[in-house]
Amino acid sequence: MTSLWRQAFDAVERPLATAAESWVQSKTFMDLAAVTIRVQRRLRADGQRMTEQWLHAWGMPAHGDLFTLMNQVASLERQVRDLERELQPRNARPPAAHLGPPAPQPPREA
Amino acid sequence: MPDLVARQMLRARNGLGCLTGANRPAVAQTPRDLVWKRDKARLWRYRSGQRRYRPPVLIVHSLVSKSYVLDLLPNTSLVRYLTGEGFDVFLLEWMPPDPADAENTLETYVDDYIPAAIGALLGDVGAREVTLIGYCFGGILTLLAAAGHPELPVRNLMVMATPCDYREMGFMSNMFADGRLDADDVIDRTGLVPARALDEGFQTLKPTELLVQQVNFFENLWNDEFVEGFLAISQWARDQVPFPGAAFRQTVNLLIRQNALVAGVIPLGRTEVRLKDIRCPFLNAFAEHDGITPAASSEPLTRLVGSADAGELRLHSGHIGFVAGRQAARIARPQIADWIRRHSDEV
Repeated sequence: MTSLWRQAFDAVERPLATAAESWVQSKTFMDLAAVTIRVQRRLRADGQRMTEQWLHAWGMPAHGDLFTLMNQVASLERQVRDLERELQPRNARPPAAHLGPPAPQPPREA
Repeated sequence: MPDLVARQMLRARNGLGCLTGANRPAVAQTPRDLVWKRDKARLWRYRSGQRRYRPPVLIVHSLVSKSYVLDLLPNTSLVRYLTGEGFDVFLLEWMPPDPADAENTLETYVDDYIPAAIGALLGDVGAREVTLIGYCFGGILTLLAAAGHPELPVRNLMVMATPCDYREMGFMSNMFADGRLDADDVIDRTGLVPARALDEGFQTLKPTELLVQQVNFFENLWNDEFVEGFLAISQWARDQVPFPGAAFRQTVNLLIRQNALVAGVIPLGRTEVRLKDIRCPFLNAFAEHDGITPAASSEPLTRLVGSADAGELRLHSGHIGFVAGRQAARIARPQIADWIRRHSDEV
């Protein structure tokens, strides 16, 4: 049996949820959400740029420098991956194992 | 049901457990072994002493969530159920991407990881074919791999909660479809779509859902089984992963703006992938109350593939109705197992 407080909650929530879900799917909401996301992104980027300029003026590293380094390391990692693939013999497949109860196996690097 | 006083005591105990973190559910408990890995791709084989069917089953997980939803709790685990039914179950999952994966395109998964994982799987068990299952966005990857690589020995293909018609995907798709947002508006400085952006997008779909969940939780706080399931699902639902930026740009341009899956022809790499080239037995499983991948978005897939044996499994549940809840236990899991069994050989 549903409790009274739950019935009251559902009586308020259900029409609210229906209205909110249709509002979310409306063009007006989507336009507003898109503008909000773009403005937030723009403000964040401007704020970061100004902070970085200020920190760099004092000879200090900024958050953006960390991203630059991360992306450089990522680029190196991608190059290593590409080299690994080039070194792999074509159509190489891992050796076939016998069927049977599985046993813990060390991971095979591709 | 316990009486009022007993329920209040259980509520207090479970509430305290949640506040202190003592009730944190142990997910992904089914024993498994890592058999292959490449970059962030991992291929796992679930242990079993009773493998009765061939070919082995390979589940390809989505790019937008963590794979433990397929092995949530011992009593609601899809992989544990399939393993118990005698299938040799493998899972191809993607570790959360970092900036090194930002340039991963759909081709990276479709032309590289999935074929390589199938090769590793076949080598590991000595099988010649595989039953391929794709969950959510993983379904798109398996469709593209099966259609674009007819040489892959895919005996059967099943997709679960897989989007196809992106005009039916609602808010998140519409934000990009009509040019309100470009992919680069949500890609951060590491080249990834942050997990937070995806989480906020999913939450916006049902604005009151979080409140309703909290009320449901409080109402059932005395029920240990409910609390365990609720905490496990909540943990998974908020545990989003970043999305590789290059693959996201393609998703926006090809799948959302061109709605290429519905056209049945997807320009990928230097070629065009045609869904009609999928000729193996095919099952399209989707849920009628799925708020993330609406049924109307998944439905067209059944007629778009070229399989003579193409069917659909329609559930009266939500997005995770395949893996958790009563629908999963009573209908989804038994029917999925039955379909695979009918399309497999006994060994």
